[in-house]
Amino acid sequence: MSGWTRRSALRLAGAAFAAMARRPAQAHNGHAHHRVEIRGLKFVPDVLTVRPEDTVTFVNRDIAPHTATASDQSWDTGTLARDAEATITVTAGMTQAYFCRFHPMMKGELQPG
Amino acid sequence: MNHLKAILFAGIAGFCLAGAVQAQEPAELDDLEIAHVAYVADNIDIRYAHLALAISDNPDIRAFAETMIRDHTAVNEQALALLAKLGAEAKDNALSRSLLENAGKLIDEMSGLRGAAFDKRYAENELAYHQAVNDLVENSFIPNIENAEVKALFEAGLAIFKTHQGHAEMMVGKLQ
Ligand SMILES: [Cu+2]
Repeated sequence: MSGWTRRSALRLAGAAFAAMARRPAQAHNGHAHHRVEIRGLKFVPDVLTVRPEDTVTFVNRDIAPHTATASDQSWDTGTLARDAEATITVTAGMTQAYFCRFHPMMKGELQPG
Repeated sequence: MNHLKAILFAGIAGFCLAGAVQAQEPAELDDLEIAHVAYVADNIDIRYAHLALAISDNPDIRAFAETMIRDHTAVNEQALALLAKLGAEAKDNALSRSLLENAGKLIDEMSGLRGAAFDKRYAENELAYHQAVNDLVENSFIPNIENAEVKALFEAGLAIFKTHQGHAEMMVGKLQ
């Protein structure tokens, strides 16, 4: 059990989300909300500093469907179609390295801060 | 003429295509003909992928084939949506017809292979095919496309297909 939970998925992201993405992570109850955009077959940012109980929302801006999947598959956003997003919650000791199951050369990392 | 030759000969050494290369130069195609070639090229890769899913037991090959179907279908859906928005229809042409004809021959050939022989042939063809199509899209199509939205879609598609090329290269290496 990874302790990561898949919060939500498959929500169309509008202008409000795009605006949010340009802001730094927002604090909420002391925990930060981060966003990682998938654009041009890259995770942006590909390295993100996170702390336990932060959330990370992955949003796909590509035509091709993608996933964000732990390198040991202990957590997974599931398939993200164009403009879909999914949120995971960070826990201590989780697997940091992740990739796209469909495009294995796409890689990212969540580093403990 | 080099790109056209490359695409016609991609992975199909052994076939005589002297007649086919008399087809139009890619640079002479208009946007709607280019769109048709790209649409056909996407569909050909989807057909190769279905063949791989029907024949191969190799998990890497099967996962790759599923990605080809998923991605090329997504790109084609965007292409059709854009054409509908522009009120245009892709135009059949000599290059797309040659592509289809050659793909048919290659599918016949690959259909006769089984096991590791099929996997190797499929992987090598995916590498050669993506190399040839990417070269054509990058060097002949994108510089000649007039409509900005069509050009943007081709650029997005090219980024995806370059990743496929890298993935195919990895797969070919693994099968050696
Ligand atoms: Cu991907």
